[in-house]
Amino acid sequence: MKVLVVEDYSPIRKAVEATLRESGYAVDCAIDGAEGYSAACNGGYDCIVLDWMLPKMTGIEVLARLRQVADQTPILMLTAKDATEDRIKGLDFGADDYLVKPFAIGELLARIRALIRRHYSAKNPIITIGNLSLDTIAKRLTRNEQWIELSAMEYSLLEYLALRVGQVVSRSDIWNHLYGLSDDSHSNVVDVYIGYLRKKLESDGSARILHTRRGLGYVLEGSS
Amino acid sequence: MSTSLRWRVLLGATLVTFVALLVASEIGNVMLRDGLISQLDERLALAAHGLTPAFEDDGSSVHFEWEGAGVGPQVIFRAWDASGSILAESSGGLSIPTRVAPTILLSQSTTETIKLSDGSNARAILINFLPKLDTHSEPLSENALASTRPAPPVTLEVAAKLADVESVLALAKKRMAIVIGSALLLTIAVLWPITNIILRPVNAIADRIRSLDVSELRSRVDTTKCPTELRAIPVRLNELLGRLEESFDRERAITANVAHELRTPLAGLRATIELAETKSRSIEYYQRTLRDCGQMGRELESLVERVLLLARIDAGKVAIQDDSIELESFLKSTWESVVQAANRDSTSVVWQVPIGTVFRSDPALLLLVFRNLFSNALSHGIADHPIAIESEKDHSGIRVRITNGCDRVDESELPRIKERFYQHDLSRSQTGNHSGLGLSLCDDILKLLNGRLELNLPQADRFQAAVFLPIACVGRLDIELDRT
Repeated sequence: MKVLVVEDYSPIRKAVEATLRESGYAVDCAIDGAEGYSAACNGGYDCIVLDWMLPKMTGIEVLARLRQVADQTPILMLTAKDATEDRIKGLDFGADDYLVKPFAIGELLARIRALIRRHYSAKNPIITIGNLSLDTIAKRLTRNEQWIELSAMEYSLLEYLALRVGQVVSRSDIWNHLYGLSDDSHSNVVDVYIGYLRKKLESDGSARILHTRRGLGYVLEGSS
Repeated sequence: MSTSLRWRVLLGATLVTFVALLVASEIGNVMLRDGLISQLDERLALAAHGLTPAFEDDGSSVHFEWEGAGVGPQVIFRAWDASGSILAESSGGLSIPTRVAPTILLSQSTTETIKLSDGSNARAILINFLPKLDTHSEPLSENALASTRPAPPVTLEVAAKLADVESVLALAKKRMAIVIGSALLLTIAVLWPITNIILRPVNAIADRIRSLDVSELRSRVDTTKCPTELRAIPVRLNELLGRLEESFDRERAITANVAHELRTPLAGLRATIELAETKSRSIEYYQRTLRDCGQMGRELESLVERVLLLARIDAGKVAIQDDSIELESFLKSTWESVVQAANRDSTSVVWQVPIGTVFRSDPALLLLVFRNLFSNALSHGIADHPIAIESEKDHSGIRVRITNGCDRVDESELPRIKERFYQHDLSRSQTGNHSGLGLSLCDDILKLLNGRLELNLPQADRFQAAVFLPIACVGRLDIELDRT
């Protein structure tokens, strides 16, 4: 998952960035509204954490402009403004959620997870595909109550595909979202991780659910 | 006495009605009495003149021959001659008491109110006339005729009791009292609904004002339906509400700004600490985290101190010290401390501060002012534009000017720059030392010292902050040191 953090106050920006990275997200940061808007337009993020009071362009302006160009990326407003009218204004301008400073890092992560799930129409934090069950909170994969151990990168890859079940996802998209890099010259790393993941998913002889669409990318198939 | 307007209107109107009716009643009574007495007087005059033919002068004496000539039985009279001898008097129990009657000329009459022998009031007419000659007696001889005296004048007083008049007047008074009582009741009955109508706009305004509370400060009392006499009340009230609303808005804005300024570093602090706690980390990481937290703590401390100082200034709780200050060394040492704190090069400063200017003021408060102004000049100045610090003194006081390059502020912003929490960048991106409190604090401190802070743009790309300290504030201003 790729998250954009737009925050001018560096201690918050650094802490949120580090937290998200440690939670397996690819993170880009912007220090003002203009930079944030530019990144949001080009980045294809799964979620944007946007401060309200930003130099050059306020968070509300960034939000309004993104919604004007029909960008539906989930946006979490992060602000010190706690008045009801401010919350209403933020939500009316198209924010998907609103978190008042100071906030608990755990709550921020939970809200980001919820926004991403909602964005991909997966309201339940436990995504079920066939006999597989992916707990997006505990970050655990089980099959018939049996835990399948995954590395952080394998988990991120599976979660990314699970949220897009049935959709073909290109190798560069995966690379971009999981590593936060637009340069896909190293995207064969994705093939390696797909191979690791397949091996674990099919270790008990189960039918293949992670398919390759030649020239297009990968798709996770199975009844959810 | 009731403070109710309705009761006052009712009481006032009833009282006025009562007094008016009472006066009218009295006037009516007097007029009625005068009319009745006038009628009685006429009747008495007729009676008196009816009696005069009964007096005859036979040449030797005047005698009264009563034949009932038109005088009613109720007529009481007495007649006497010039010597006071009673010539005639009415019979019956009542008589006119003997008294000194007014002197009247012949053929004239006078009326007055007297008391009869039984003490009752009566009206009396007094006439003076010559009795007629007795034509039935034998004609006098020439000698006798020559010796006869002239006819003596007779004074006749005729009286009639005033009981009828008084009973009519008493009856009239009784009826008038009933009329007045009824009129008062009618007045109250009519005024009650009328006062409702009259007081409706007053009650409407009172209800509107009663319903106002802190949550309704934005609403106003409608003055268009208000009576002209009362219009000043809602107009003034609306003005008061406006001022109150502004004050509450200002308070709210300041509270929101303080909350924002506190929340941002707090959020950074909390996020940084929580992140460090998520797992075991290296010593270097913890050291870096502690440094970051220390920096955020200092920002918070600085902000809290500024807010508290502003609050103390607002409450008039700042004690002003009085100490001797040498301007040049004070400014230079302050500048050095600011430059050191900011890790900046101080070579781009042009000093024009004469040495030896000594004055008395509060060095701690002035230190806060100049630290803020120097810090602003360093932070917001343009790198290749030197900062100029100059001072001058005249008979009115000391003026210190700090001028730096600036391309961010325009003329329209100047009046607002000294507002609390005002930031050039409306997004309030500056947290901590440049949170928009500095110039406001400088302004408030200088006002406390009877000085002032003037901000202007001497050139399009130059910003100038001028501190003026009046001589009255500094106590004395003289050259004490000769530092050639």
